[in-house]
Amino acid sequence: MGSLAGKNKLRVLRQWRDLPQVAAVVVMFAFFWIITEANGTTPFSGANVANSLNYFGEYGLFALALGITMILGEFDISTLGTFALGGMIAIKLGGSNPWLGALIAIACCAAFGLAQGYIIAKFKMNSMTVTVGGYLITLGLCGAIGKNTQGSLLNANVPPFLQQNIATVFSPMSLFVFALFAIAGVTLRYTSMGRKFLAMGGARKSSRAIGLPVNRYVTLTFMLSAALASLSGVLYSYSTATSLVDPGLQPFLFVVTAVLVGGVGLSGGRGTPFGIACGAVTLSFLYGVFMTTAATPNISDTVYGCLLLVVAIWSAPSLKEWLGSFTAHPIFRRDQETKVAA
Amino acid sequence: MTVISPVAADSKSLGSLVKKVSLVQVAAVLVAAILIIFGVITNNFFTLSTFQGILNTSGIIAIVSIGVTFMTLSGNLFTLSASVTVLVLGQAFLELVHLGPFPAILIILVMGAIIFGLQGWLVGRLGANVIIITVAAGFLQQGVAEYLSGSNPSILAPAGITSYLWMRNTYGGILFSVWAMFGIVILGELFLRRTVAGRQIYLVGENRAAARTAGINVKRVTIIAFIAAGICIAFAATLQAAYTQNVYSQGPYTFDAIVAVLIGGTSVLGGKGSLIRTVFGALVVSYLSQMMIMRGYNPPTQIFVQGLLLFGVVVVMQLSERGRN
Repeated sequence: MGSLAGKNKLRVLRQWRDLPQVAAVVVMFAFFWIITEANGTTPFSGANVANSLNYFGEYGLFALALGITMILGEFDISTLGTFALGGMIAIKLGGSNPWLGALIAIACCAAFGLAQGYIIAKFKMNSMTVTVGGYLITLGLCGAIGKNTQGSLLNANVPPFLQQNIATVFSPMSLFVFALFAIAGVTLRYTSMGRKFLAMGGARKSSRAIGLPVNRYVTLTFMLSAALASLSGVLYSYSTATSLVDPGLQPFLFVVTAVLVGGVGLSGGRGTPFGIACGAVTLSFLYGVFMTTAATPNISDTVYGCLLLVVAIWSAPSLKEWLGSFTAHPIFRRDQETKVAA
Repeated sequence: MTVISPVAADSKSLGSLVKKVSLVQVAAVLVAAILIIFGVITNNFFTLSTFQGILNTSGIIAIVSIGVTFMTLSGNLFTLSASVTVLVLGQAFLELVHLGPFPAILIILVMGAIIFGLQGWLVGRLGANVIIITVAAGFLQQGVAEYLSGSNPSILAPAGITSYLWMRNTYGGILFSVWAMFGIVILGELFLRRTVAGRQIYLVGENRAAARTAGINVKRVTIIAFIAAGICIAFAATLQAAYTQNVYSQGPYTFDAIVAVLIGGTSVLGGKGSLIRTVFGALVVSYLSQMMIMRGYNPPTQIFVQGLLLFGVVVVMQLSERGRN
């Protein structure tokens, strides 16, 4: 009886879609622990985890922004621009009232996302090319608002507030981001809106055929992704007290890798906010490893680049076919024939 | 017997003319008009020296853009790591130039072909996402280059070696890079129009399924398009390194090239376009850049205007293609 219950539990665990992502978090956490202890300068403590989770707080929502467009079968490169623009607007306007600065930043970027999403949905356009234009527009706006110089936050109370310690490993920023991931996860899993969203990502034509409002969902998703990316930019700027004129492709490397490690499929319809959160936490622990070992940019760039390459290859649609071409080789076939004969 | 009044006939011919004029043509005329008007109201813009400057700055951008055009024509969008490749291969050229300019150029071209060929294999054979692969490849190149150079951000030309300086000279008032661009356009167009592989690039970009049905090896064609892109970008890197003699930061090539390709009228979905059009697009990018510098606009404003232009071009072209289909 007991063994039957145990087998059932094992089966449920195997069927859990996000199990590989959870395993990735555990493995990376263990690696982070071992490396920190082996490094010998300071013993592993809650502060190490808190620093890594603050990194998650800064970039996590950016990953969610990109992830939801990918689940819908689209790709929003302009999130990189709205990330920078959100941070810049918040820094410029949030000196006396950080809440107001954040609100205006998110509203402006959401309005941009809405317009961009409307054009993509209405004219059924390739989102990758349209959002490259969107990226340049928002990046240009960001530089123009910041007069081509890095901005700094006048209110000195904001960064310590966002990074203050809660329960040893958390901060208000990381908890807030975890809460938003939880809301996104519950919405996708337990509401009809979420299920329709997943259906549209997996089968766009069929969704249109059965009368689902695909255009409305695409438009709103781009609006939401712009709002989330800008909120991520606001959190980054408020926690570091600076805003970037041009973040380059570095944040994009982090979030794309996080989303793919998080199990989001490039063809749409596959992935969960929980998986994306796991992917982002995994990479935040990797960032912690780099911090502990004081890794130079060449090492972190190479490792992140390799990781992205591996997950991109892993999620490539023809990978199985290519691997299958090896097993179809006469050597393997003879082996199989021998097995069949036996 | 019906008599058509001259006014009615005129309005009828005007109507048929309006029907014939496509959205792309209207947009092109509009953009040209805006560029000319802004040129007129900019002091000393329409002078020979300004246009010489535009032509000279467009050379390297155009060669990178020609490389990207091969990718776009084959239906594989564009690369997001052109700037990194130009930087890394430019640094490598300055490190190797002591071997002599021609062996160094040859090695760099082979390196460019390998770097892009591998990316092409991942995209063509495994069906990996081109944007993600090019971003990853960019960071890998950057990481490896930083490691090899000992994280030295600036690579200077070796002192005392002058054998490669012909690459930075002007001939008839025009930089060597511009003459090289004309040569590459001619060779590239011959490759695209007169060879089987070139024509296959068009067909694969136009209709991948049809190309596959026709027995064309789509994977091989994709890899060839990427290799062509890599060779062009590598050559641009050698010209850039020879011209500046100090390679230390990424140029604006990635997005300049994308804007040039799409403004030139190459279809973003592949199969339609030409290298000559891309050169025209690169000239527009240089014109815009020069005009904005002369009007005192800062780089972010230039990026913003480029973004608006790109956004508009992509929307108009996709709408136009849909209308045709």
